[in-house]
Amino acid sequence: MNTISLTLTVNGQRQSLAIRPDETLLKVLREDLGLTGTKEGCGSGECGACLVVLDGLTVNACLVPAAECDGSVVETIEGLAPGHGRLHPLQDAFVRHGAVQCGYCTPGALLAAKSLLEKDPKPTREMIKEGLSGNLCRCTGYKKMVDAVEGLAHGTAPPASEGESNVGRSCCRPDALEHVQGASIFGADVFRPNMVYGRILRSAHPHARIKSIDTREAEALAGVLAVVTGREVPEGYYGVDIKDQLVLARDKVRFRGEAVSAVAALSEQIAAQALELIHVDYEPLEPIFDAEAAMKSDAPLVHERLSEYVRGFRTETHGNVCTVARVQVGDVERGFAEADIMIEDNFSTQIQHQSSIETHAAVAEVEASGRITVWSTTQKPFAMRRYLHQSLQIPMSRLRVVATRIGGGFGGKLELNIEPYAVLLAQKCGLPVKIVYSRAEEFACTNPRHRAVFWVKSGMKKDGSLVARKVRLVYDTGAYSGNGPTTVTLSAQLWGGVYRVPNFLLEGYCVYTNKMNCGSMRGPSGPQTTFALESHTDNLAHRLGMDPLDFRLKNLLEAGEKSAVGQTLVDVDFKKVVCEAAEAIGWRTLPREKNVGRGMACMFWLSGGWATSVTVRVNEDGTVGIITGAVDMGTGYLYTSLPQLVAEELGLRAEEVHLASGDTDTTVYDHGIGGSRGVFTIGKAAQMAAVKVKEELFHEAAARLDVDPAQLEIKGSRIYLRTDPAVGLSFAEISFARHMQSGGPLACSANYLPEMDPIDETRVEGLSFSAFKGNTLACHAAVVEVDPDTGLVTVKRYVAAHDVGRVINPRAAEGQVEGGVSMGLGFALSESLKLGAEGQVLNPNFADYKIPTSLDVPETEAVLVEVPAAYGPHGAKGLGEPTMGPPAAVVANAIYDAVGVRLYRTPMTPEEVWRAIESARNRK
Amino acid sequence: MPVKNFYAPTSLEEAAELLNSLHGESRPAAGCTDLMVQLAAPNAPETSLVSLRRVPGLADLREESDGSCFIGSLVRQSAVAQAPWIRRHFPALAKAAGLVGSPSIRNRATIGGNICNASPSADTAPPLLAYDAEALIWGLDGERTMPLQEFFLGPGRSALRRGEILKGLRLRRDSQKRANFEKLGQRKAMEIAIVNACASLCPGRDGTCFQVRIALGAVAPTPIRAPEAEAILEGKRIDYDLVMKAAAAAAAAVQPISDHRASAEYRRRMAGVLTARIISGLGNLPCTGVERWR
Repeated sequence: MNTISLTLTVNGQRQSLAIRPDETLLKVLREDLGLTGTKEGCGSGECGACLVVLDGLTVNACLVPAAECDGSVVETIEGLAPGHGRLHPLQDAFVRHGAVQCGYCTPGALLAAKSLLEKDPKPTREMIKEGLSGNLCRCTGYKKMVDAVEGLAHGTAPPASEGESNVGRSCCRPDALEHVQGASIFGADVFRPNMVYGRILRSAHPHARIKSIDTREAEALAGVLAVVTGREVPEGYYGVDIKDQLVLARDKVRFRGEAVSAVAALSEQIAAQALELIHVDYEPLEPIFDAEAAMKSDAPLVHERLSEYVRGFRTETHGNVCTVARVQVGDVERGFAEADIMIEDNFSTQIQHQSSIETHAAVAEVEASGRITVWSTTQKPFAMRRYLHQSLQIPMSRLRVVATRIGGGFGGKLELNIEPYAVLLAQKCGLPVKIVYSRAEEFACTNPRHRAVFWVKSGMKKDGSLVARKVRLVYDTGAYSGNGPTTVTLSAQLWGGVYRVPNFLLEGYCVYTNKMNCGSMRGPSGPQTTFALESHTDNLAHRLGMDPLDFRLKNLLEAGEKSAVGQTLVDVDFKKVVCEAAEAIGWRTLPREKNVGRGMACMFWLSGGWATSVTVRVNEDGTVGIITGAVDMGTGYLYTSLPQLVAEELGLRAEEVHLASGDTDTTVYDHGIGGSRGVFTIGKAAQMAAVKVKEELFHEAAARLDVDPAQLEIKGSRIYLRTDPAVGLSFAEISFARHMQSGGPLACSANYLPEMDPIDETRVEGLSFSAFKGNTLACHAAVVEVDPDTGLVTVKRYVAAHDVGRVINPRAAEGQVEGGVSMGLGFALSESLKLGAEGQVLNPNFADYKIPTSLDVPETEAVLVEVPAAYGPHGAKGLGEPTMGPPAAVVANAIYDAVGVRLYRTPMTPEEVWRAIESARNRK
Repeated sequence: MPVKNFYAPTSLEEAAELLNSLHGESRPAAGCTDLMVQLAAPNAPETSLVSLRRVPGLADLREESDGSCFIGSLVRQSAVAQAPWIRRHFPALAKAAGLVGSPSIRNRATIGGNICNASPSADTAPPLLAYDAEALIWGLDGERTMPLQEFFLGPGRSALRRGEILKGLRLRRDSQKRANFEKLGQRKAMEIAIVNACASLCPGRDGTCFQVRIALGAVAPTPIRAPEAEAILEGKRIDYDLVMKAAAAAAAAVQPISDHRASAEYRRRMAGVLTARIISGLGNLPCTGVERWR
């Protein structure tokens, strides 16, 4: 291959380098010039993460052959700030407006915005959305990005972050300063000396026995350093609820895309070449793709040894069914006999993919001592260390997991995935090994949202009161159980958590098929269940001729009542949330327009628990830091809420509190981020640790001042006498003395594991856990317009009311709501991971897997309702997940209101809506 | 990406000679927004790139003295969308170019690339067909011109022969002509059309219309014209019934496939709906309520 000499000017500096003809501008910037602020999201120009300015025009650097850039002028994110610690005004606006969440799309979006403002300094909102329409963002829902650009262009003051308080104040994220400058180190940005590259060979069959694997030819290829197969790996089965999976397939592959072998080589190209030289002799077996068909007794078995697997909960299993859940209240048949009206409905949902703009990435390095460090995009560094221990049988003391910045997680980066391959290859070749998933790989094997089918029958009285409900649900978990049993459990809780139904029977199944295994995507079971439950709820209301709002208000559970699983609901006010949503959209006063409709839907959710530990320390100079094993996947709770909660106790401002996180060697255990637990559980632990530190400060000060601690106040990094503020000691004085003279460092830890809520064990079978505390309700409402000729649905207005318990950071909370609604509308309208007849992904790219763009998302109005929870810090509840639950049902109900047709499947693409309208017309 | 060599010729002759001598082992490269994706596909064969970006004249955009307009192959889609005289004389083309991909894609993607890639769903193809564009083809044996309709042979296949280069497109200006473009997709940006359509016509004094052109994309192996639908309208005064007939004829003219983006049935019906909407708009009829055209 030829070498080409290239001279280009990057951020004002002339660079001369020799490149290969197959290099892209993106590769040259990131790897040859070390400018990792330009990100790769898709490699095919469909996401905008690699947007740079080339000779004055924004381009996708992944699509530009570097050889073409000789003599060109390139501007990257690293060149945007004027230097000397100052930010470009757009960077500043992004930080102040809360336009940055995970930060992965931020560099590209900033350059797109800059280019837009250079062309038109006073753009309209619509023009700004158009200007950002090639920059996919999975976190923010775009609203705050548009606010930032508009605010800067039109000279409106950035939103205030002032005020005395910490709790309830929209303080800015300190990590956003790194993100806007392209300085954050994400997974793919980790480079180590002598690092080599790994690639994974994936099964070409959905279901086959592996007869033999011949790696000799691959090993002989120049530049190949290591090849591993399943036979060399300890037989360490792993899994969340059922231990049914191996890191590398041994005897059998169960989905197309399953890892069979891995290669480390000097370059990604050589590694890719080597994969083609590994010869796997497969004996194809009959695949099974449909979950309901897989439940039949004569269906091909995905797992022959299901009964032997270790399980973390009690359930019945048979055939391909790995969980049978049952919830029973009263006598459902007697209830139906008492009903005046009965309705039956069937619903189904699609596979939705998390589609973080950052793909999975990991680097593993083996030290001379044999200790292994893994840099990973994981949401759960400590659990990752445990998973690596379980699957590879390496003692945890020899493993260190360091979480990098995460470019969006949404549950996709919760479980073991890319990491063990990097470890195995690094162990075998002795050099640091980096693996970064391609976008296609991401779609093929990274635990998307379960497809689900529902059958529901409800009986009610003429006055609209529900008397009986029977539900059958089937979750297709794919080749491995992943998070399936937990998802079925959550679904059961959601079906029984919103409305009062005296007689209730639910049967839930989690079923293996030959698809990629499904995991936890933001609010597992939430969007699926809510689509079915809340569409059905509207059908019931319409049958009665009752306003869907009134029907809900009549049947909503109230505080003190029990959900179907027998959890007593406390600290909730469902009616208040529903009424606030209705009021915000103007439910009772919306004018009737042709083809325009309104819809609403509610979702019951929880605030995740699980164990955590947070340490708060006072440094010798009196400054304060937080140490936690938790990480932030982009939501910002770690960088805003935690410092706010600590500062509140210690009389500081949140901006003064420093944070260290996410390293299994230097921090203490946290379960991992997910399950809407960030503020509720980790925040609570931070608050508890701060209270302890405060007590110690008071104790030390009281001893030194010779007063009673009750006479003291804390503020401005000082402890002083309430009656005479001049008499006191600074944190620095107390801490320094403590370090040097008595008792050692001033640091306190708090462990926290919110206890699970009891449920009524006589009502349930086969659930994988009881119930979480911090229950909450979301109620969304929207106005949509349907084009009856094409089926195209346009969401014109959207309001989302959430019981957040107590708002810690309003702007961050709004950001969660706006981003969640965007993701929920993607589920509702356009996102679907499609599989072909051989189990292959038909749309493994962002052109055909359709995440909403800035032009597709409505301007969501977040309504934050406060019904404090006893267990959360200051009453706060979890918020991340429920934000994306209601949109599909809201849209379905609004479509019905607009054009009188009911959609029973997601996503409600134009073709689906058109078909429903057509069949209604044909029936007439 | 399996790229063996990269060439940046500085004349048409040099480019054509390279493409001729490396026939089968090279690809002409313009904006590369489709090409790079094709090259990144698994098992893409190794090839060399012959970049046309340094060939003079290919990025020209000019009005000729004979009233025709020349749009060079290498003109970026953002330039097509924004050029004042394209917006004035060929608004449907400007609209279509402005709906390709995203702003940063349009800053690289070229009109010639969109045409030579010969994708059935190319957004600029229907307006170019509706404006009777001609393809100007340059080869070592000389230059030839052909109606754009004849340029498309099948998905990914064009009439370009060994060593030939699409120099540009020629359009005739006609101040009487009215045209519009519509694109149906699930999103408002970054979309590959489910169906796209363009129609043009010249209104007569008595309300009749002439030189009717109806062009459709993503509904056949190539972008197509719908001559039966055009004939229904030609010389007639546009009314509701005529629009419905033309829409039905357009739907009958298409040969769509079913794939993961849409079914053949939906594409066929939407070809009719888009046709009806555009013609209604051009005839100053209300654009809604076209559902009865079947």
